[in-house]
Amino acid sequence: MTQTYHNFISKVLEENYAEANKYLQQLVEAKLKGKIKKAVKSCKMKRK
Amino acid sequence: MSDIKDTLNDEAKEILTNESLTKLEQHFNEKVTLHVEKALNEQDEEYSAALEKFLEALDTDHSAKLKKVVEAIEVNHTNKLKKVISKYEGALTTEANDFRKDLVSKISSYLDLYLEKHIPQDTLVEAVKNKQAATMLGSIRAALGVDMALAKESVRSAVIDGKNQINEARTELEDLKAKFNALDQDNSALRAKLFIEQKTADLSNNKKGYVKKILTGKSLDFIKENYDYTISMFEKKEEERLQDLTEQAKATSASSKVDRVVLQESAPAPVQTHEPTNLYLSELQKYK
Repeated sequence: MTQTYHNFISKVLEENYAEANKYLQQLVEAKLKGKIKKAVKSCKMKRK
Repeated sequence: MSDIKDTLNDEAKEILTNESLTKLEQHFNEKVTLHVEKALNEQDEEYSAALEKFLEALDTDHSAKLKKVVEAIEVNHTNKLKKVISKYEGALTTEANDFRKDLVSKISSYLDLYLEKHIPQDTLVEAVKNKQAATMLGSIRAALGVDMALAKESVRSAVIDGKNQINEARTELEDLKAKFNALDQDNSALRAKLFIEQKTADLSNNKKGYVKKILTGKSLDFIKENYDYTISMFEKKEEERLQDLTEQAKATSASSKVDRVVLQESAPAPVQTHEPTNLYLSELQKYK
């Protein structure tokens, strides 16, 4: 995950915005997955 | 200081005339001028030499002092530069790493905030609940629907009948598939055989036999692809065989020209039969 951040920053510094966008998408997807997992977990806890 | 002319005039006014005094004065003055110039030149040379020595000594002293000053300045600057280098190296390694970590955490926080603002956690929880409920409802509906349908007698018999029909149709389909495959194979074999027959109709018996031997039992596609190649192979083999035969014939004719030792095989000498024994035997033959 940290490596993805580093890649994103380095690509932004290189002004290679297409590649930077890919890394940003990966980061956002990871964040969303985390949020969804959190939501599922909270639902399961409530059900118990 | 009194003039030379006045001095001479005082001392030898009775001996020298006024003209000779003037001449003497002139000569004396010239000599004095020459001596003074010479003395001045010598003094100049002496002073210039001394001055050069003095300047050289001064230069040496100044250059030594200057070297010391330069060395001291170099040492001082080197030490300062080393300090600057170590400080910037530290800044590059530690401070840059800290900056990078800080930047990563800030970007992460920004993304969190952005996602929280546009996709709130409550919405996600609600979506998860809806999805779970929909899945649960679907599974319940499927289970209950089948059970309810099977619960009725008429529906059950219809379902069983349908299942039997499906099984029969499946069995029939399998049989038909097997028959179709067998017929397809036969058809392929016949087509291949027909193809070979058509192609080899005008060929010689040897060639026809060779082609049949090689291609019989193969698929039609294989035969079509390899027919020309098989014919070429046969012709090549035939050509090689003929060449071998020609060479053998040549070798045989060459060996027949060599002088051979003629062996005269003597016929076995006729057995001298005894006349009375022969007669006896001939008589015995009669009673066989």
